[in-house]
Amino acid sequence: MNEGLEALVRSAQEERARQAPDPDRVLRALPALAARRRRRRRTGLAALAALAVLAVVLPAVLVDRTTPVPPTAPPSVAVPAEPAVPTLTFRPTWIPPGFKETIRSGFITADEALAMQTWTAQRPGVGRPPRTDPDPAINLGIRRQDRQAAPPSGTPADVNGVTGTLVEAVGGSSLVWAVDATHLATLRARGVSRTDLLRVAASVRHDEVAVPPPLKLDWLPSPPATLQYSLSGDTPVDWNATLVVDVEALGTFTVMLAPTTDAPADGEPVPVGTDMGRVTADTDPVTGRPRQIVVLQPPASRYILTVWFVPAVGATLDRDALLRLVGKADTDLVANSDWIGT
Amino acid sequence: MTFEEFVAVRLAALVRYATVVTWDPHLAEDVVQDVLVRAQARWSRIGSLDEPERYVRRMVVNEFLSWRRRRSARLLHPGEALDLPPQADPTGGYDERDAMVRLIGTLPPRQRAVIALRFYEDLAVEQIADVLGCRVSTVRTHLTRAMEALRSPLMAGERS
Repeated sequence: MNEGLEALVRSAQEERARQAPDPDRVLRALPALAARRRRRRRTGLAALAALAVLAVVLPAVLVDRTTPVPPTAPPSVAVPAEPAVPTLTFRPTWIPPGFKETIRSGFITADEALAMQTWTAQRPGVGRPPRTDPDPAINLGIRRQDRQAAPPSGTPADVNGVTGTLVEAVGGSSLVWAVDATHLATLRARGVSRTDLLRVAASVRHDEVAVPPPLKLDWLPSPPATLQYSLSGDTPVDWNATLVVDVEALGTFTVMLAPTTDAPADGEPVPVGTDMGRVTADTDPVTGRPRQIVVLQPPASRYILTVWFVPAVGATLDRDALLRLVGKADTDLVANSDWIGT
Repeated sequence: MTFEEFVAVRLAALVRYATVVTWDPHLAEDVVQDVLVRAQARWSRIGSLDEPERYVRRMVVNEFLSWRRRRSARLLHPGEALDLPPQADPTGGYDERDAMVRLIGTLPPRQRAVIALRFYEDLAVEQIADVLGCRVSTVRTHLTRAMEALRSPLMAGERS
Protein backbone atom coordinates (compact mmCIF):
# COMPACT_ATOMS: atom_id res chain seq x y z
CA MET A 1 0.00 0.00 0.00
CA ASN A 2 2.83 2.37 0.94
CA GLU A 3 4.59 1.95 -2.39
CA GLY A 4 1.38 2.59 -4.26
CA LEU A 5 0.65 5.62 -2.13
CA GLU A 6 4.16 7.00 -2.59
CA ALA A 7 3.92 6.52 -6.34
CA LEU A 8 0.62 8.39 -6.31
CA VAL A 9 2.15 11.22 -4.26
CA ARG A 10 5.06 11.48 -6.70
CA SER A 11 2.66 11.49 -9.64
CA ALA A 12 0.60 14.26 -8.03
CA GLN A 13 3.76 16.26 -7.34
CA GLU A 14 4.90 15.93 -10.93
CA GLU A 15 1.45 17.09 -12.02
CA ARG A 16 1.65 20.04 -9.65
CA ALA A 17 5.14 20.90 -10.89
CA ARG A 18 3.68 21.19 -14.38
CA GLN A 19 1.41 23.95 -13.02
CA ALA A 20 4.45 26.04 -12.06
CA PRO A 21 4.39 29.70 -13.10
CA ASP A 22 6.29 30.86 -16.15
CA PRO A 23 9.99 31.31 -15.15
CA ASP A 24 10.30 34.19 -17.61
CA ARG A 25 7.58 36.07 -15.75
CA VAL A 26 9.40 35.44 -12.46
CA LEU A 27 12.59 36.72 -14.05
CA ARG A 28 10.98 39.83 -15.54
CA ALA A 29 9.69 40.87 -12.12
CA LEU A 30 13.08 40.65 -10.42
CA PRO A 31 14.60 44.04 -11.37
CA ALA A 32 11.61 45.98 -10.05
CA LEU A 33 11.47 43.87 -6.92
CA ALA A 34 15.21 44.29 -6.30
CA ALA A 35 14.93 48.05 -6.78
CA ARG A 36 12.07 48.18 -4.31
CA ARG A 37 14.11 46.10 -1.88
CA ARG A 38 17.07 48.50 -2.22
CA ARG A 39 14.83 51.47 -1.49
CA ARG A 40 13.54 49.68 1.56
CA ARG A 41 17.03 48.82 2.72
CA ARG A 42 18.00 52.47 2.66
CA THR A 43 15.35 53.15 5.24
CA GLY A 44 15.56 49.71 6.80
CA LEU A 45 17.00 50.63 10.14
CA ALA A 46 14.68 53.56 10.45
CA ALA A 47 11.72 51.40 9.53
CA LEU A 48 12.55 48.73 12.06
CA ALA A 49 13.15 51.27 14.76
CA ALA A 50 9.85 52.90 13.97
CA LEU A 51 8.18 49.52 13.92
CA ALA A 52 9.53 48.72 17.33
CA VAL A 53 8.10 51.96 18.60
CA LEU A 54 4.90 51.15 16.79
CA ALA A 55 4.67 47.85 18.65
CA VAL A 56 4.75 49.77 21.86
CA VAL A 57 2.47 52.66 21.10
CA LEU A 58 0.34 51.40 18.24
CA PRO A 59 -2.77 50.71 20.33
CA ALA A 60 -2.84 54.26 21.56
CA VAL A 61 -2.53 55.51 18.01
CA LEU A 62 -5.25 53.25 16.80
CA VAL A 63 -7.77 54.26 19.38
CA ASP A 64 -7.70 57.65 17.72
CA ARG A 65 -6.79 57.23 14.09
CA THR A 66 -6.39 60.96 13.67
CA THR A 67 -3.41 60.88 15.99
CA PRO A 68 -0.25 61.45 13.98
CA VAL A 69 2.93 59.42 14.13
CA PRO A 70 3.87 58.07 17.56
CA PRO A 71 4.93 61.09 19.58
CA THR A 72 7.51 59.07 21.45
CA ALA A 73 9.45 58.17 18.29
CA PRO A 74 12.99 59.45 18.55
CA PRO A 75 13.29 62.68 16.54
CA SER A 76 16.29 61.32 14.71
CA VAL A 77 14.37 58.34 13.37
CA ALA A 78 12.71 58.85 10.03
CA VAL A 79 9.24 57.37 10.15
CA PRO A 80 8.51 55.38 7.02
CA ALA A 81 5.44 56.06 4.93
CA GLU A 82 4.39 52.54 5.78
CA PRO A 83 3.43 50.63 7.84
CA ALA A 84 0.09 52.28 7.94
CA VAL A 85 -2.52 51.62 10.56
CA PRO A 86 -4.55 48.51 9.66
CA THR A 87 -8.02 49.70 8.80
CA LEU A 88 -10.96 47.99 7.21
CA THR A 89 -11.29 50.26 4.19
CA PHE A 90 -14.04 48.21 2.57
CA ARG A 91 -16.80 46.11 4.02
CA PRO A 92 -19.65 44.04 2.57
CA THR A 93 -23.12 45.34 3.29
CA TRP A 94 -24.68 41.91 2.80
CA ILE A 95 -23.72 38.57 4.29
CA PRO A 96 -25.67 35.31 3.89
CA PRO A 97 -28.08 34.47 6.72
CA GLY A 98 -26.53 32.40 9.48
CA PHE A 99 -23.08 33.94 9.26
CA LYS A 100 -21.78 36.15 12.08
CA GLU A 101 -18.70 38.31 12.16
CA THR A 102 -16.43 36.56 14.63
CA ILE A 103 -12.82 37.45 13.76
CA ARG A 104 -11.07 40.73 12.98
CA SER A 105 -7.36 40.60 12.47
CA GLY A 106 -4.47 42.87 11.57
CA PHE A 107 -1.10 42.22 10.02
CA ILE A 108 1.86 44.60 10.02
CA THR A 109 5.32 44.34 8.49
CA ALA A 110 7.81 47.05 7.62
CA ASP A 111 6.09 47.62 4.29
CA GLU A 112 2.58 46.30 4.64
CA ALA A 113 -0.39 46.75 6.92
CA LEU A 114 -3.69 45.08 6.34
CA ALA A 115 -6.85 44.23 8.17
CA MET A 116 -9.15 41.31 7.55
CA GLN A 117 -12.56 40.31 8.75
CA THR A 118 -14.13 36.89 8.92
CA TRP A 119 -17.70 35.72 9.22
CA THR A 120 -18.35 32.18 10.36
CA ALA A 121 -21.44 30.01 10.58
CA GLN A 122 -20.20 28.40 13.77
CA ARG A 123 -18.82 30.01 16.88
CA PRO A 124 -15.02 29.86 16.88
CA GLY A 125 -14.84 29.35 20.64
CA VAL A 126 -12.29 30.78 23.04
CA GLY A 127 -9.15 29.53 24.74
CA ARG A 128 -6.90 29.16 21.71
CA PRO A 129 -5.91 31.43 18.84
CA PRO A 130 -8.60 31.33 16.15
CA ARG A 131 -8.18 29.10 13.17
CA THR A 132 -7.57 31.01 9.98
CA ASP A 133 -9.48 28.47 7.97
CA PRO A 134 -12.80 27.85 9.75
CA ASP A 135 -15.52 26.12 7.80
CA PRO A 136 -17.96 27.42 6.68
CA ALA A 137 -16.59 30.93 6.55
CA ILE A 138 -16.34 34.11 4.54
CA ASN A 139 -13.16 36.16 4.72
CA LEU A 140 -12.45 39.55 3.18
CA GLY A 141 -8.96 41.01 2.87
CA ILE A 142 -7.91 44.19 1.10
CA ARG A 143 -4.41 44.92 -0.07
CA ARG A 144 -2.74 47.49 -2.26
CA GLN A 145 -2.58 46.49 -5.90
CA ASP A 146 1.20 46.76 -6.07
CA ARG A 147 1.48 44.03 -3.45
CA GLN A 148 -0.07 41.44 -5.73
CA ALA A 149 2.63 39.33 -7.34
CA ALA A 150 0.54 38.02 -10.18
CA PRO A 151 -3.11 37.79 -11.09
CA PRO A 152 -4.56 34.42 -10.19
CA SER A 153 -5.79 32.11 -12.87
CA GLY A 154 -9.49 31.37 -12.87
CA THR A 155 -12.85 32.26 -14.36
CA PRO A 156 -13.75 35.89 -15.15
CA ALA A 157 -16.53 37.17 -12.89
CA ASP A 158 -18.33 40.51 -12.94
CA VAL A 159 -18.36 42.56 -9.74
CA ASN A 160 -20.27 45.80 -10.24
CA GLY A 161 -18.88 46.18 -13.75
CA VAL A 162 -15.33 45.20 -12.84
CA THR A 163 -13.99 41.90 -14.11
CA GLY A 164 -12.58 39.84 -11.28
CA THR A 165 -11.19 36.35 -11.16
CA LEU A 166 -13.15 33.55 -9.57
CA VAL A 167 -11.46 30.33 -8.52
CA GLU A 168 -13.85 27.57 -7.50
CA ALA A 169 -12.60 24.32 -6.07
CA VAL A 170 -13.76 21.48 -3.91
CA GLY A 171 -12.68 23.03 -0.63
CA GLY A 172 -13.75 26.61 -1.25
CA SER A 173 -13.84 29.54 -3.60
CA SER A 174 -12.03 32.81 -3.90
CA LEU A 175 -12.76 35.96 -5.82
CA VAL A 176 -10.20 38.66 -6.52
CA TRP A 177 -11.13 42.00 -8.03
CA ALA A 178 -10.02 45.62 -8.10
CA VAL A 179 -12.27 47.26 -5.59
CA ASP A 180 -10.93 50.68 -6.56
CA ALA A 181 -7.97 52.13 -8.45
CA THR A 182 -5.42 51.18 -5.79
CA HIS A 183 -6.82 48.20 -3.89
CA LEU A 184 -7.48 44.55 -4.60
CA ALA A 185 -10.13 42.72 -2.64
CA THR A 186 -9.81 39.01 -1.96
CA LEU A 187 -13.00 37.34 -0.85
CA ARG A 188 -12.64 33.73 0.26
CA ALA A 189 -15.53 31.49 1.09
CA ARG A 190 -16.12 27.96 2.21
CA GLY A 191 -19.55 26.44 2.39
CA VAL A 192 -21.06 29.35 0.45
CA SER A 193 -22.75 29.15 -2.94
CA ARG A 194 -21.32 30.94 -5.96
CA THR A 195 -24.42 33.14 -6.12
CA ASP A 196 -23.98 34.22 -2.51
CA LEU A 197 -20.25 34.78 -2.97
CA LEU A 198 -20.88 37.12 -5.89
CA ARG A 199 -23.65 38.86 -3.97
CA VAL A 200 -21.32 39.47 -1.03
CA ALA A 201 -18.71 40.86 -3.42
CA ALA A 202 -21.21 43.13 -5.13
CA SER A 203 -22.24 44.55 -1.75
CA VAL A 204 -18.70 45.64 -0.78
CA ARG A 205 -18.55 49.36 -0.13
CA HIS A 206 -15.98 51.82 1.11
CA ASP A 207 -15.81 52.09 4.88
CA GLU A 208 -13.30 53.13 7.52
CA VAL A 209 -13.09 50.99 10.63
CA ALA A 210 -9.89 50.81 12.61
CA VAL A 211 -8.79 47.39 13.75
CA PRO A 212 -6.71 48.11 16.83
CA PRO A 213 -4.40 45.52 18.38
CA PRO A 214 -6.13 44.29 21.52
CA LEU A 215 -2.84 43.73 23.36
CA LYS A 216 0.61 45.23 23.41
CA LEU A 217 4.04 44.35 24.68
CA ASP A 218 5.88 47.15 26.40
CA TRP A 219 9.16 45.30 26.09
CA LEU A 220 10.71 42.99 23.52
CA PRO A 221 14.25 41.58 23.41
CA SER A 222 14.68 42.81 19.81
CA PRO A 223 12.63 44.83 17.33
CA PRO A 224 9.79 42.86 15.74
CA ALA A 225 9.78 41.93 12.07
CA THR A 226 6.05 41.30 11.88
CA LEU A 227 3.02 41.74 14.08
CA GLN A 228 -0.22 39.88 13.68
CA TYR A 229 -3.17 40.15 15.97
CA SER A 230 -6.82 39.28 16.19
CA LEU A 231 -9.87 39.74 18.30
CA SER A 232 -12.23 36.81 17.94
CA GLY A 233 -14.97 35.09 19.84
CA ASP A 234 -18.54 34.02 20.21
CA THR A 235 -20.12 37.07 21.79
CA PRO A 236 -19.04 40.58 22.84
CA VAL A 237 -18.14 39.19 26.28
CA ASP A 238 -16.59 35.85 25.26
CA TRP A 239 -13.52 36.59 23.23
CA ASN A 240 -9.86 35.89 22.59
CA ALA A 241 -7.34 38.66 22.13
CA THR A 242 -4.26 37.38 20.36
CA LEU A 243 -0.99 39.03 19.39
CA VAL A 244 1.74 37.22 17.44
CA VAL A 245 5.12 38.89 17.25
CA ASP A 246 7.84 37.52 15.01
CA VAL A 247 11.38 38.57 15.92
CA GLU A 248 13.91 37.71 13.26
CA ALA A 249 16.60 35.22 14.32
CA LEU A 250 15.00 34.90 17.75
CA GLY A 251 11.57 33.35 17.35
CA THR A 252 7.84 33.90 17.58
CA PHE A 253 5.87 35.09 20.60
CA THR A 254 2.15 34.39 20.74
CA VAL A 255 0.30 36.29 23.44
CA MET A 256 -3.31 35.45 24.18
CA LEU A 257 -5.83 36.84 26.63
CA ALA A 258 -8.90 34.62 27.00
CA PRO A 259 -11.21 33.15 29.65
CA THR A 260 -9.47 29.78 29.25
CA THR A 261 -6.20 28.39 27.92
CA ASP A 262 -5.21 25.16 26.25
CA ALA A 263 -1.69 25.35 27.70
CA PRO A 264 -0.65 22.26 29.69
CA ALA A 265 -2.09 22.32 33.19
CA ASP A 266 1.23 21.53 34.88
CA GLY A 267 4.17 23.86 35.41
CA GLU A 268 6.49 25.54 37.85
CA PRO A 269 5.13 28.52 39.84
CA VAL A 270 7.05 31.72 39.11
CA PRO A 271 6.63 35.36 40.14
CA VAL A 272 5.69 37.64 37.25
CA GLY A 273 5.81 41.22 38.46
CA THR A 274 3.58 41.29 41.51
CA ASP A 275 1.56 38.24 40.43
CA MET A 276 2.24 34.53 40.39
CA GLY A 277 2.24 32.63 37.15
CA ARG A 278 3.55 29.29 35.98
CA VAL A 279 6.09 28.19 33.41
CA THR A 280 5.53 25.08 31.35
CA ALA A 281 6.44 23.70 27.93
CA ASP A 282 5.16 21.57 25.08
CA THR A 283 5.81 21.01 21.38
CA ASP A 284 4.61 23.47 18.77
CA PRO A 285 2.26 21.51 16.50
CA VAL A 286 3.22 23.60 13.46
CA THR A 287 7.02 23.64 13.64
CA GLY A 288 7.61 20.57 15.80
CA ARG A 289 9.94 22.65 17.97
CA PRO A 290 9.75 22.87 21.75
CA ARG A 291 8.00 25.95 23.00
CA GLN A 292 8.15 27.74 26.30
CA ILE A 293 4.86 28.77 27.86
CA VAL A 294 4.00 31.19 30.64
CA VAL A 295 0.48 31.31 32.06
CA LEU A 296 -0.69 34.16 34.25
CA GLN A 297 -4.09 34.97 35.70
CA PRO A 298 -4.12 38.44 37.15
CA PRO A 299 -6.09 38.70 40.40
CA ALA A 300 -9.69 39.78 40.02
CA SER A 301 -9.64 39.04 36.34
CA ARG A 302 -11.59 36.31 34.63
CA TYR A 303 -9.15 36.39 31.74
CA ILE A 304 -5.97 34.32 31.58
CA LEU A 305 -2.83 35.57 29.88
CA THR A 306 -0.89 32.89 28.02
CA VAL A 307 2.41 33.50 26.23
CA TRP A 308 3.97 30.90 23.95
CA PHE A 309 7.51 31.30 22.64
CA VAL A 310 8.84 29.19 19.76
CA PRO A 311 12.55 29.86 19.15
CA ALA A 312 13.99 30.20 15.66
CA VAL A 313 16.46 27.55 14.57
CA GLY A 314 19.53 27.78 16.81
CA ALA A 315 18.08 30.60 18.94
CA THR A 316 17.42 30.60 22.66
CA LEU A 317 15.73 32.94 25.10
CA ASP A 318 16.45 32.78 28.79
CA ARG A 319 13.62 32.52 31.25
CA ASP A 320 14.22 35.93 32.80
CA ALA A 321 13.78 37.60 29.42
CA LEU A 322 10.57 35.68 28.77
CA LEU A 323 9.18 36.54 32.20
CA ARG A 324 10.12 40.17 31.71
CA LEU A 325 8.21 40.20 28.43
CA VAL A 326 5.16 38.62 30.09
CA GLY A 327 5.33 41.14 32.90
CA LYS A 328 5.33 43.93 30.33
CA ALA A 329 2.27 42.66 28.45
CA ASP A 330 -0.45 45.28 28.61
CA THR A 331 -3.84 43.60 28.80
CA ASP A 332 -5.93 46.67 29.50
CA LEU A 333 -6.32 47.70 25.90
CA VAL A 334 -8.93 45.36 24.57
CA ALA A 335 -10.69 47.14 21.78
CA ASN A 336 -14.35 47.45 21.05
CA SER A 337 -15.82 43.97 20.94
CA ASP A 338 -19.44 44.93 20.28
CA TRP A 339 -19.30 43.61 16.72
CA ILE A 340 -18.44 40.03 17.76
CA GLY A 341 -21.20 37.64 16.86
CA THR A 342 -23.22 40.21 14.94
CA MET B 1 28.97 30.48 -11.23
CA THR B 2 27.54 33.99 -11.34
CA PHE B 3 24.04 34.78 -10.15
CA GLU B 4 22.96 35.38 -13.73
CA GLU B 5 24.33 32.00 -14.79
CA PHE B 6 22.58 30.30 -11.91
CA VAL B 7 19.26 31.89 -12.80
CA ALA B 8 19.65 31.12 -16.50
CA VAL B 9 20.31 27.45 -15.84
CA ARG B 10 18.27 26.66 -12.72
CA LEU B 11 15.33 29.05 -12.52
CA ALA B 12 12.79 26.77 -14.21
CA ALA B 13 13.65 23.88 -11.89
CA LEU B 14 13.58 26.19 -8.88
CA VAL B 15 10.11 27.46 -9.76
CA ARG B 16 8.83 23.90 -10.20
CA TYR B 17 10.36 22.94 -6.86
CA ALA B 18 8.75 25.94 -5.12
CA THR B 19 5.39 25.04 -6.65
CA VAL B 20 5.58 21.53 -5.24
CA VAL B 21 6.71 22.77 -1.83
CA THR B 22 4.03 25.46 -1.52
CA TRP B 23 1.37 23.64 -3.61
CA ASP B 24 0.31 27.09 -4.77
CA PRO B 25 1.72 28.48 -8.04
CA HIS B 26 1.00 32.08 -7.04
CA LEU B 27 2.67 31.73 -3.68
CA ALA B 28 5.57 29.87 -5.35
CA GLU B 29 6.12 32.79 -7.68
CA ASP B 30 6.12 35.19 -4.77
CA VAL B 31 8.47 33.04 -2.69
CA VAL B 32 10.96 32.49 -5.54
CA GLN B 33 11.07 36.19 -6.35
CA ASP B 34 11.73 37.14 -2.74
CA VAL B 35 14.36 34.45 -2.35
CA LEU B 36 16.19 35.40 -5.55
CA VAL B 37 16.32 39.06 -4.61
CA ARG B 38 17.85 38.14 -1.28
CA ALA B 39 20.18 35.57 -2.83
CA GLN B 40 21.41 38.08 -5.41
CA ALA B 41 22.38 40.49 -2.66
CA ARG B 42 24.43 37.74 -0.98
CA TRP B 43 25.65 35.94 -4.09
CA SER B 44 29.34 36.55 -3.42
CA ARG B 45 28.98 34.17 -0.47
CA ILE B 46 26.30 31.82 -1.80
CA GLY B 47 28.04 31.43 -5.16
CA SER B 48 31.22 30.29 -3.46
CA LEU B 49 29.49 27.38 -1.76
CA ASP B 50 29.94 23.86 -3.11
CA GLU B 51 26.23 23.58 -3.79
CA PRO B 52 24.68 27.02 -4.17
CA GLU B 53 21.44 25.55 -5.51
CA ARG B 54 21.00 23.48 -2.38
CA TYR B 55 21.34 26.64 -0.32
CA VAL B 56 18.80 28.50 -2.45
CA ARG B 57 16.36 25.60 -2.23
CA ARG B 58 16.70 25.69 1.52
CA MET B 59 15.93 29.41 1.40
CA VAL B 60 12.75 28.60 -0.53
CA VAL B 61 11.53 26.15 2.10
CA ASN B 62 12.40 28.43 4.98
CA GLU B 63 10.71 31.37 3.31
CA PHE B 64 7.59 29.29 2.79
CA LEU B 65 7.57 28.13 6.39
CA SER B 66 8.50 31.47 7.87
CA TRP B 67 5.89 33.06 10.00
CA ARG B 68 4.80 35.50 7.31
CA ARG B 69 4.49 32.82 4.65
CA ARG B 70 2.96 30.35 7.05
CA ARG B 71 0.13 32.78 7.44
CA SER B 72 -0.43 32.85 3.71
CA ALA B 73 -0.22 29.11 3.48
CA ARG B 74 -2.73 28.68 6.26
CA LEU B 75 -5.12 30.91 4.41
CA LEU B 76 -4.93 28.59 1.47
CA HIS B 77 -8.25 26.83 1.27
CA PRO B 78 -8.23 23.11 0.71
CA GLY B 79 -8.92 22.80 -2.96
CA GLU B 80 -8.06 26.35 -3.73
CA ALA B 81 -4.63 25.29 -4.81
CA LEU B 82 -6.52 23.26 -7.01
CA ASP B 83 -7.62 25.39 -9.85
CA LEU B 84 -6.73 22.53 -12.12
CA PRO B 85 -8.67 21.89 -15.30
CA PRO B 86 -10.80 18.76 -15.23
CA GLN B 87 -9.23 15.92 -17.13
CA ALA B 88 -10.65 13.04 -19.05
CA ASP B 89 -10.19 9.76 -17.26
CA PRO B 90 -9.79 6.89 -19.65
CA THR B 91 -8.08 4.64 -17.14
CA GLY B 92 -9.14 5.72 -13.70
CA GLY B 93 -5.57 6.78 -12.93
CA TYR B 94 -6.28 10.46 -13.37
CA ASP B 95 -9.09 10.27 -10.82
CA GLU B 96 -6.75 9.03 -8.15
CA ARG B 97 -4.03 11.47 -9.06
CA ASP B 98 -6.42 14.43 -9.09
CA ALA B 99 -7.77 13.34 -5.74
CA MET B 100 -4.21 13.22 -4.46
CA VAL B 101 -3.52 16.70 -5.83
CA ARG B 102 -6.47 17.97 -3.84
CA LEU B 103 -5.55 16.04 -0.72
CA ILE B 104 -1.98 17.32 -0.63
CA GLY B 105 -3.39 20.84 -0.75
CA THR B 106 -5.23 20.16 2.51
CA LEU B 107 -2.07 19.19 4.44
CA PRO B 108 -0.57 21.64 6.94
CA PRO B 109 2.34 23.60 5.38
CA ARG B 110 4.99 21.71 7.31
CA GLN B 111 3.70 18.33 6.16
CA ARG B 112 3.38 19.60 2.59
CA ALA B 113 7.02 20.69 2.67
CA VAL B 114 8.18 17.40 4.17
CA ILE B 115 6.54 15.25 1.52
CA ALA B 116 7.93 17.57 -1.18
CA LEU B 117 11.44 17.10 0.17
CA ARG B 118 10.94 13.37 0.66
CA PHE B 119 9.28 12.39 -2.60
CA TYR B 120 9.93 15.21 -5.07
CA GLU B 121 13.50 15.85 -3.96
CA ASP B 122 14.16 12.27 -2.81
CA LEU B 123 15.89 13.47 0.37
CA ALA B 124 16.45 11.15 3.32
CA VAL B 125 14.74 12.08 6.59
CA GLU B 126 18.11 13.11 8.04
CA GLN B 127 18.64 15.54 5.16
CA ILE B 128 15.11 16.88 5.56
CA ALA B 129 15.75 17.46 9.26
CA ASP B 130 18.86 19.40 8.30
CA VAL B 131 16.92 21.54 5.82
CA LEU B 132 14.12 22.26 8.27
CA GLY B 133 16.30 22.69 11.32
CA CYS B 134 14.43 20.16 13.42
CA ARG B 135 14.91 16.67 14.83
CA VAL B 136 14.80 13.56 12.68
CA SER B 137 11.99 12.23 14.85
CA THR B 138 9.98 15.36 14.11
CA VAL B 139 10.41 14.80 10.39
CA ARG B 140 9.30 11.19 10.78
CA THR B 141 6.23 12.34 12.69
CA HIS B 142 5.29 14.86 9.98
CA LEU B 143 5.85 12.26 7.29
CA THR B 144 3.78 9.62 9.06
CA ARG B 145 0.93 12.02 9.72
CA ALA B 146 0.99 13.31 6.16
CA MET B 147 0.89 9.84 4.67
CA GLU B 148 -1.90 8.81 7.00
CA ALA B 149 -3.87 11.92 6.08
CA LEU B 150 -3.40 11.08 2.41
CA ARG B 151 -4.11 7.38 2.77
CA SER B 152 -7.34 7.47 4.77
CA PRO B 153 -9.54 9.32 2.27
CA LEU B 154 -8.30 7.17 -0.57
CA MET B 155 -9.07 3.99 1.33
CA ALA B 156 -12.47 5.35 2.24
CA GLY B 157 -13.05 6.07 -1.44
CA GLU B 158 -12.05 2.53 -2.37
CA ARG B 159 -14.41 1.08 0.22
CA SER B 160 -17.31 3.12 -1.08
